[in-house]
Amino acid sequence: MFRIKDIVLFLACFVLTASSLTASAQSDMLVFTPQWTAQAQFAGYYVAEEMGFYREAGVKVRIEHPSATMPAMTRLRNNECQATTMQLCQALETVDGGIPLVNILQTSMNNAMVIVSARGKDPLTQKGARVGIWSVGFGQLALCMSNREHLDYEWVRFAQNVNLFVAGALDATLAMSYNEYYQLMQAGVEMTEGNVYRFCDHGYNVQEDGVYMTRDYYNSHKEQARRFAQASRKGWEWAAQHPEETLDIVMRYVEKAHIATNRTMQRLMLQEVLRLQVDRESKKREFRLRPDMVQKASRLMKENGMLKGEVTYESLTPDP
Amino acid sequence: MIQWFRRKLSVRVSLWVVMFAAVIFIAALSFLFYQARDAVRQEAVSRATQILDNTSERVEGILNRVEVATNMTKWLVQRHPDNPDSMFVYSRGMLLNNPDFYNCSIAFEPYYFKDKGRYFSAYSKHEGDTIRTIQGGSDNYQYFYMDWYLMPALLDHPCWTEPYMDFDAPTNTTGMVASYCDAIRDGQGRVIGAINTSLSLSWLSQTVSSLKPYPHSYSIMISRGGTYFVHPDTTKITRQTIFTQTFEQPDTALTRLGHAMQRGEDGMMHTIIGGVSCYVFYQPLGSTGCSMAIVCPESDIFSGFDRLQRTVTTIVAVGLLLMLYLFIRIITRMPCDWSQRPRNRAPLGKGSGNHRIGTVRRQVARLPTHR
Repeated sequence: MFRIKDIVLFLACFVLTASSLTASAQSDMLVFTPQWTAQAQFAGYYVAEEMGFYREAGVKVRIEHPSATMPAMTRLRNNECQATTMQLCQALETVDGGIPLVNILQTSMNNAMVIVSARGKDPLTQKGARVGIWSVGFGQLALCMSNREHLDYEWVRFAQNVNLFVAGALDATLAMSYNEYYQLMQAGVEMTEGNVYRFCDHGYNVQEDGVYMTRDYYNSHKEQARRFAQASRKGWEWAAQHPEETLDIVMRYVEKAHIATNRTMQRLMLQEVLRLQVDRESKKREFRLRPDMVQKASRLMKENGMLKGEVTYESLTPDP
Repeated sequence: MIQWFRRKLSVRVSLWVVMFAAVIFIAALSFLFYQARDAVRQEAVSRATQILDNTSERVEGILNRVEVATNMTKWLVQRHPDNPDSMFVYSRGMLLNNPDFYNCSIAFEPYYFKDKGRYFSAYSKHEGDTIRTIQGGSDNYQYFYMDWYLMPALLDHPCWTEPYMDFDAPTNTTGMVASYCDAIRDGQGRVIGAINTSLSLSWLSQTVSSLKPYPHSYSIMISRGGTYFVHPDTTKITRQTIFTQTFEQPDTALTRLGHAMQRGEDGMMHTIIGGVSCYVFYQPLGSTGCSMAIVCPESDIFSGFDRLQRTVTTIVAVGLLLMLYLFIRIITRMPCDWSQRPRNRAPLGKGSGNHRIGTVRRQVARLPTHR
């Protein structure tokens, strides 16, 4: 027969285990990993943290950045974070790869990708050129465009910065209009209409940055996700109204992360990111995923063999 | 006053003489100052160029050691590319034989050594008195996408990377380094990896920063991409390029200077930096793609000359004024002596000359004035 001491011990273990499981499921600590190293691209989230918007919303948030060679999606997949930002095309690839995602907040309303060509040449005339592309997975649209235009680019995957291009090791490079574009200008590269190809101006204006969670996590933390998204949006709206104060906050984050940048560069980045948040048609900062853009991106990627099947807008929304 | 000048022959004569002397002095001194200023400028150019040459030679000597050591190690690796454990010996040996090198890594293509997995990089680094040697590379650090791994293969020749700040997490310290890298190839010429040797640039920064041919001059160094890695304002180091400040305040002179330095040119430029007129002497640094420059405020270069110029000008001006005063006094006194002789009202020019001349002043006043 069981002794009373054994029964008490068993009950105590059971209660402790049940408590820890419950606490884990209902924990309001959310680890958020933006898709790149610390910079003004994520200013709204820094503002939300520093100004207490997350705290007011009752969400505990810890912002952890990835390394330049480690995609943020890997952290999400490994459960090292619960929310991340990623580009729409990358989200479509991930969903198509078997990991259901939910877009809880869409910040970017326009495409920011460009190709910058060396020696003043038009990128569309450089068939077979050696073109730099990020190793962490941005650039799906560029691959689509290259296939469609039969450019046969030789893609060279790099971790970060523009050093390969500046050293003359590449004929052209992908760049974001808010980041590498200004890095190239800072390096003395002359930008003209002739050597810069903007995807948004050539029928590839597909949204980019949004905040994503895995569907499993979202389903068990809907309220947390809603509050986090709301507070993040508030952070972005505050940033748009107070750019210089926002820059002060951003500079604290970049200093803490030992990022080699400067205030001028971050100011240009913030201005461009805020500009990209304004929808071209409505002229408003909408913070929503557009079904037509999801459809366009999905179709393009499927046509170019990057998706097995089209990923629908509904499969990305919180409550399909 | 003018009438007084007109009446006073002594003043008029003196003024003419002094003015004539002044014109000659001005002409002579202008020519002298112009030549002297040019000589001073040439001296400044020569001085700065010599300093740059000496520094460049010293720095290149050290950089050359890195290049030679890396090439030798690469040769060893390429002779025995199939023994992964040897790579640790080679990388460690590089630092043992060269204590001033920062780190060394010998990295290979994914799965080159099948039993070592996707990542294999024999990495050695100084840690205090010891050398730490580990197998580097992970999902967090995919070295085959880094500059030092890609550049030599893409460029098809060894090269120096852009300087960067290396953050050492265990010691929580940062140090500025640059890496010399080269591709490792197999017998068929295919790229199988890369070797990379890093050098701390702190000593370089101190050496270049100490170049001060003039009291307020300072030195800068920029990388191939224009990034400052030596600058008196340390907040700019690795964070700003020579073009950054032109974003908010367009400066064609600074832009021109930046492009000239990036192109590896050497020379001198007279420009305005920070509102101060300066002479900038610049020179490339070997094959690194970097360039260094000494910025000398014009006021420093010509301070001695300007002081001399002011002194000489003052002496000449005072001398001419003194000359004017003396001439007036001398010329004025000469008729005073004649007035001592007996008066003779007869006009001048008539008579036997034996009569004593009267008051010259009154008689001179009757003389027609010729203009």
